[in-house]
Amino acid sequence: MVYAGPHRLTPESFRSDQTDFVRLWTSAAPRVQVYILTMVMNWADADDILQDVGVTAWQKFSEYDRQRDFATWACGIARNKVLLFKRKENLKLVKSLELMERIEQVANSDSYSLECQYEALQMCLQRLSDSDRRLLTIQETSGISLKSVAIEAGRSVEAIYKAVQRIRARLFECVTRRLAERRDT
Amino acid sequence: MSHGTDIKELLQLPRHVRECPEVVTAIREIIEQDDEALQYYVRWMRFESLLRWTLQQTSLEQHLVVTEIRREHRRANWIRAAIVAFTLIAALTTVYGIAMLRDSLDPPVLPLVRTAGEWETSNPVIWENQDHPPSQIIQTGDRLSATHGSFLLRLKSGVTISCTAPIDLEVIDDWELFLHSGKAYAWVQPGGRGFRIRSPSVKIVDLGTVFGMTVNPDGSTEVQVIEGSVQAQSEKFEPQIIQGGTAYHVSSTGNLSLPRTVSSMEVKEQLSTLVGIQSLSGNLELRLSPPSSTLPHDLITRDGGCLFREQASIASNEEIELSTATPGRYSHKEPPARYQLPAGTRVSTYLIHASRPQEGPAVATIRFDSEILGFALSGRQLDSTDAVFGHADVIYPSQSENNQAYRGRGSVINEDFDIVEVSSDRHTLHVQLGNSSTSFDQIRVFVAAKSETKTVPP
Repeated sequence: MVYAGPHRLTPESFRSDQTDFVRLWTSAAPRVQVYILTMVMNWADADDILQDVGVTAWQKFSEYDRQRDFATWACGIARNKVLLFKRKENLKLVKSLELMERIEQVANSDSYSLECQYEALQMCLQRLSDSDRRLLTIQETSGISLKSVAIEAGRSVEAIYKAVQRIRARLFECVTRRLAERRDT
Repeated sequence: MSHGTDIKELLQLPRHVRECPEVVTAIREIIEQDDEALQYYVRWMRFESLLRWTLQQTSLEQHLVVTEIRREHRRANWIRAAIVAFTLIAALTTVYGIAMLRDSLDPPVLPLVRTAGEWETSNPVIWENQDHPPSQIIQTGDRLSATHGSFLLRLKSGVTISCTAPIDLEVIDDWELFLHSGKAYAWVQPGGRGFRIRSPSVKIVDLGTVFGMTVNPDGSTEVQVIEGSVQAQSEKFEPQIIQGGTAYHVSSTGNLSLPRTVSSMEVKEQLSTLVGIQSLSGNLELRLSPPSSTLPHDLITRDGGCLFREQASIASNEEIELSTATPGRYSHKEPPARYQLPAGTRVSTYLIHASRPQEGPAVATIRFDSEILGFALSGRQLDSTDAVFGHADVIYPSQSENNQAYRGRGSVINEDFDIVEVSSDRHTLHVQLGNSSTSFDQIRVFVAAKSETKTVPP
């Protein structure tokens, strides 16, 4: 279903809104995803909620005030979706509104923009070996599971998980260190 | 464990584990209580989300990843094997290095093998190891073990050792012996002072002397000092000087007994073996150390006279005229014939001196280790051989001194009573010298040097 929005829909205006929305959503989605994941700490749930937020954002895109930050607006939708999800799915992590607000407060007080962190991550990823980077990618690629790779490679699943765990920890330390260096400079 | 550590460990768990309700609850409880943990949680989630966002844009084919993992696995195995090998090599190198360092710091005392002397005998010696009898030339570290017989050990230090089997003797060097068991007598020339013989119970340091040592199987030791003095010491007593003519017993535990007098029989037995005389009977006094003078008024003897060795293994470049020593009995009526000792013949010489007419005739039977080759009986023979075959430190009467007072040198068998007799094997000499109040008798006996009559051990 395509929601046309409050104003009268013409083919030209539809194509124009769609282009704007895609551009804005592509830019805001990572931030929205961060927000949702932080609140639910479950990737499957976060994916579902993000998709739901995207649909709602498109449906309400005509209500979007172009003077406001789209990501902030989308995060507002995400917040409502998380609260809705919490009521429906008995969310384990954020059981209270108080914790939710504290998480938001910490996230908002972070002195680094998401763009800074993204840049730091890209630099640290470049420092990884190809094999480490590929191994990390497995986890994030649909259709490939660590378990199937481990079996095919003749290694134990635990060994693969451990390897991934070590790489992620190293990468996180690298990003943290780079951000600290950036703050010092 | 702090909340910080907890949250790190929990967040780094594999996703399927971390998303279990129990783990999520644990994380929630931590971030509810701890602001730092909450900040860490937010940072981690942001990192994880960005990472996923980035990596999802990367195309990936499973077979590439599998190949990569296999390669990595092999590489890791190789690295592990290399590390193990390197560790082993390093450990071995370290151990070897330490050993070498220790060796260089504390180098092993390698026995310096060198010639210590030689042994000789005139009678069959049965060695402990018949298959490998000791070489005639003795090296430092050699061990001489014999079950039967006797032999002389001549060390480079100038010490002569008379050894009587059964004996087990270790040659430390030409200055030290270790007598494990058996009987040995040492004749130490002035240049050999400081020579040592050790036994399991005592250490004897020579101070210029002739001494004997008998080591019993239990290690106890009998020390007999014939002439001069020695210093004895063990773990149980302070160094003690033992004078000539006394003997001590040192127990196997190193205790020193009271001294006792060495009997003349012991002295004769011990001295004779050291100078190549197997036996001596009669009233001739055997002197190991030659007298300073053989002039009648200088040489005072206790009995009928004395006998001493002048030279050991010496040769003349010229032919020497001597009286023959073919087996037989000689007197002034049947004097021995004269013969020429070939130049280069290696001999040992002994001087028999009889100068105490008031004591009666000197009568003695002497058995030499070696064959008797001839005699210097006449004054001319004696005088002509003094320089080469006499002892360098002894004063001999010269022809110019052959006046009335000295009449008699070289007139040994000019008197009725004088007899010289050579045994059939030419090893034994019997003399009867009836010197008068106005004369003295001297005979120089030439015997083959040991090197020419050496008996090869079985």
